[in-house]
Amino acid sequence: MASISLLNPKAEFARAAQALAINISAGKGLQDVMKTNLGPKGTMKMLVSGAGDIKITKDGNVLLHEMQIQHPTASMIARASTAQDDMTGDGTTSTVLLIGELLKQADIFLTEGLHPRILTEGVDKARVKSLEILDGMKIPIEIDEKSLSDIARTSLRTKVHTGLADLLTNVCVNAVLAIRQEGKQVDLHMIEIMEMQHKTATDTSLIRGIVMDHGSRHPDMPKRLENAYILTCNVSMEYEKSEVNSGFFYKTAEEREKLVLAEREFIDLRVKKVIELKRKLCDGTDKSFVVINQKGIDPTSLDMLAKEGIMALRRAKRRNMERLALACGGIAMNSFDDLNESHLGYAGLVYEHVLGETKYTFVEQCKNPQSVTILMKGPNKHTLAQIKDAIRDGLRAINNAIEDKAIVPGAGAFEIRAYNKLMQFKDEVKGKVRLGIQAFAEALLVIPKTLAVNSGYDVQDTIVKLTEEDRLNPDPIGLDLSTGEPMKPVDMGVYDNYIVKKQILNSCSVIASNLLLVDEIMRAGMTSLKG
Amino acid sequence: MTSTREIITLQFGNYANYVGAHWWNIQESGFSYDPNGEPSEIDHDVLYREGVDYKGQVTYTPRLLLVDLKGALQHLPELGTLYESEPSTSAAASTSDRLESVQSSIPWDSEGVEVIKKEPQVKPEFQKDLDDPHVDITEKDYDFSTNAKTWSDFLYARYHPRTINIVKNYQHSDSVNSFDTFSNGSRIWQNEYYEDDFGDKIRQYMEECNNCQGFQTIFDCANGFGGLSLKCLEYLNDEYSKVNLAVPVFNPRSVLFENSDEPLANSICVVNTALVYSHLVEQSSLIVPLSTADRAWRQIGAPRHFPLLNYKSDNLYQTSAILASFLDTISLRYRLKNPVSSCYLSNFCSDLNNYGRKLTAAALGLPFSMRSDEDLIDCLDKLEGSMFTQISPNSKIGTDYIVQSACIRGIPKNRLKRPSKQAQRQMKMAAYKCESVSEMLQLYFQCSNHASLAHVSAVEAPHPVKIPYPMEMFDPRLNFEGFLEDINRIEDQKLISVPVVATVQCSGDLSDTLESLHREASRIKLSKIHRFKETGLESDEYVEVLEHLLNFKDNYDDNFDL
Ligand SMILES: Nc1ncnc2c1ncn2[C@@H]1O[C@H](COP(=O)(O)OP(=O)(O)OP(=O)(O)O)[C@@H](O)[C@H]1O
Ligand SMILES: [Mg+2]
Repeated sequence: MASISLLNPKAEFARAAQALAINISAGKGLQDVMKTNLGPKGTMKMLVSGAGDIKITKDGNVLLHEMQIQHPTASMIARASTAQDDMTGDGTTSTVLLIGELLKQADIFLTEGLHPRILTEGVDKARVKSLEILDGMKIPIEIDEKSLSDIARTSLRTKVHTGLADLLTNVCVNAVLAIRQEGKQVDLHMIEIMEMQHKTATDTSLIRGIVMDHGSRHPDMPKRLENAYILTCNVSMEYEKSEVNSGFFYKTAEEREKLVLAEREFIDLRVKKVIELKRKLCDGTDKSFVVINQKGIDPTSLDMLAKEGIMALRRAKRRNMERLALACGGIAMNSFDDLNESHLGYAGLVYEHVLGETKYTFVEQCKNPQSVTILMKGPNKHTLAQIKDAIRDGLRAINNAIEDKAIVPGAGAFEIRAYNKLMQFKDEVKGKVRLGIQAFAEALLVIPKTLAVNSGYDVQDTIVKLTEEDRLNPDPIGLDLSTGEPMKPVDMGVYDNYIVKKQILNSCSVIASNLLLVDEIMRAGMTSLKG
Repeated sequence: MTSTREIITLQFGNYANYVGAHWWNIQESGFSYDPNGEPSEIDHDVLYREGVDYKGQVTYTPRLLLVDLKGALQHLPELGTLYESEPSTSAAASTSDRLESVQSSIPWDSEGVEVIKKEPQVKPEFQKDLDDPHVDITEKDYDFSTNAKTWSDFLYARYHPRTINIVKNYQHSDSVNSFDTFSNGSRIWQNEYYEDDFGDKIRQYMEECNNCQGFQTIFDCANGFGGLSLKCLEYLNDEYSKVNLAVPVFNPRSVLFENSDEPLANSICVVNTALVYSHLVEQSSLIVPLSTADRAWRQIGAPRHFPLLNYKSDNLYQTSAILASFLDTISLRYRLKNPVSSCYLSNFCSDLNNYGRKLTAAALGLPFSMRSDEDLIDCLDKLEGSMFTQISPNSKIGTDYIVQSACIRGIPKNRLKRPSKQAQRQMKMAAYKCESVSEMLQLYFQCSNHASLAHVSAVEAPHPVKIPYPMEMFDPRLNFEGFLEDINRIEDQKLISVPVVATVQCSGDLSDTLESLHREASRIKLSKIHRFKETGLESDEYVEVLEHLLNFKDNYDDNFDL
């Protein structure tokens, strides 16, 4: 990556003019690295470290973090991209491209003598206007499989190849629909993402229940149970040597021995409570009993449970307490004091699967599960990591759409329309401020331009065709990547999240403005030089 | 119940990983693969776990999680080399073949994949030799003290793929550290996925344990790792409330931080250390700080003197080995087979931390100095001064009112004393009635330390000395078993082991240690060091930290009865 050298200029105490030049070149440098990423025809990056570690990504933000960025300007841009990711989970490549392009466009006017203040004023006016335009392009949606699939598919196809993207789309949409409760915010944490390192990525599937990466720790425990009561709990079943009862001065051996016994008995009583309930509910029926504990279960306790045919798992994830209750029903118990049937959940099938040194436990056939698991498969760690990133993006895209209750047409449609309208708007504004608006409008075109370049089409041709078509058409017009011709994204099902675009517009204009107002950069640069 | 008493080990920071690498190496040089040999006195399952790799082969790896910065691993892949997932490509199969096959399996149009490859890191000779069954590493001299660029260069142990965690936001550098402040470290932990991922790895280890004793956490104290470690300790306490032994270590080399001159860098170290000590009071069961330099807060002090060792004071490879030898020896108490009731990590901690005196000082005799023709009884009788060298910074333990837990290894039974017929002069000594090494050392401590208490463990097996341990440090007069002779050992006879004694001590003297830290820390105007504020540490919080240190020091001032 030759262009990265651009990001580490020696001159730390740059004067104002130089600082501006450096900022602009840093922005361009990052843009050069990132532009090949954009869109479904962008290039996937395979990063190989000196030790042979492999990371595969097409995500702008991930890539930025894998690179080493020291230049303060570049790291400021990188932070904007991270913020974009934190807030929306998408649009990080576009953010970097837009900031870079905005600096480039600004540079043209600045070298002609325009004052940065006036320019940034214009940029801000353009930002406000663009947000208006974006609002006007919102397409309201019903929360159903069709519209959620459109948004998820568009996003996933920019991260993995079509076949896998469509499979993951299905998985992600169904996962979200399963856990969504009418009128409540979706909590994506209720979708567990579990990985198994075997088979291939296309074996990834949605499990309507919970999969855990551990199993029972007793050889005699059942490996498969049907018709199972599920006790979810956070109660220690482990005799712990407490720290206080040792001490080499005080107690006699007998005294200590007694304490040990008393504590052991205390744990045994807990286990017996569980066994009692199990006997009452299951003995003489075809029902079975499973304990899933967030705390530990020691060998003695496991032994007692195994003798009763109970399957017991210890050290479950904290979050699985909540997930299990949502998947199977029942309540996660913090004590067994008045344990009864109403506290228990239900699963039609619980079974163990062993892979290498890891055991997996599947809790399935739940009645109306409101927490589910995406079970990822892949032959190696880097494939799994890549799919995990893609799934996270897909889930975020779906969730954004649900929260926005709307989506916007993709494939450059917004940027083309905003360009046309801003250029009209520019003429209504008096004075040099309009140059800022023009810079912003031109900058927006970097998105459709880059989409065109990445598919091998001529930039000028494409932009001319698209802007013309847009002027003639009330419907938004985007770029068909397989033909290079204008198309209607709505017909092709290419959509972006509203919130993503909105966030991009806001953060880009703010960051670019900061970078253009050199005084401020100088200060920003200086603080990192001070202690 | 005879189930294993597992312990989970955590290492945070580059120097901590140096120490750790040596420690795991030392343990593995002590492994015996001979089914007919003497069974070991050490229960390795306490710190190691058994697993199965993707090919179904059994593995035995440290129950360890470690954290370092990007670039610190050099040639070592993050997932380690033990669990290769691709079907074992013969050593000949070139990496470019491998990359090509990876590239073609990526779920993306293969023409649209851009490979961005860093220059491959060359494996150092030692690591190459480990891969080659035809090379005998014990026959070679690798000169690690000049050649080792990082801990992975001399790592003999093999880590589980779960073990290594890299902080991506910061780049490792030997000269300028960018991971500077405690608060920067805390922020890493708070970052979205960190607690989730790292916490889940701890949980996975924990789930495997039948009877977990607790945790031991070794970490770089004076840089950002202090903050990261303390966040982790806090998490461990919330989640598991088990015993936690904290071992802050101090790099013997003064390191500059990014954009700082030396005085500023020193001040940052002091603030970091004050924050670490003050938080440890709540978050640990026992604190055993380690350094081969006598002072650490502001400037690195002079190297500690070991009578029979010769080491370069700022050499990371050598100094970290000394600290590792200490850890390997002192931890024997809670790693022994056939445990007696007081040999849990919890006992070790609670023996020492009465009255809230959690801060202790470490001391080490490396080797335990004993002549080859001498019995322990005579050796102790003639001993002038201390058998130990202090290895906790700014600490000086006197001789009275000490509580300590010591461990001695490598004194054969027949070297305790002479049988009664040949005993002569020995018969007159009170110690002659002692029937074991531990009993005798116990008596020795009773006699030489007024109003003190000592727990002593003794292990017959010595401290193994094998490549890649820095055996060049030892005095040439030591014979092959590490006992002192008058003349130098002959060239072609190798040192194979040494007797070692280690102790952790607690006494009122540590009041001075805390006082000196408090003094240094109060001198600093936090508001002048912008990076603390920028990363979220406010001045009034710092005032509280200082006060907290003073209160902690009070625990050492009152003269409690023992
Ligand atoms: N099928 C398609 N045809 C045309 N354009 C598309 C298509 N799918 C996506 N796009 C466009 O690609 C752009 C998104 O590309 P991409 O997801 O690679 O980058 P990003 O969202 O900016 O950053 P990242 O996803 O890396 O955080 C959007 O402008 C979107 O409209
Ligand atoms: Mg995207």
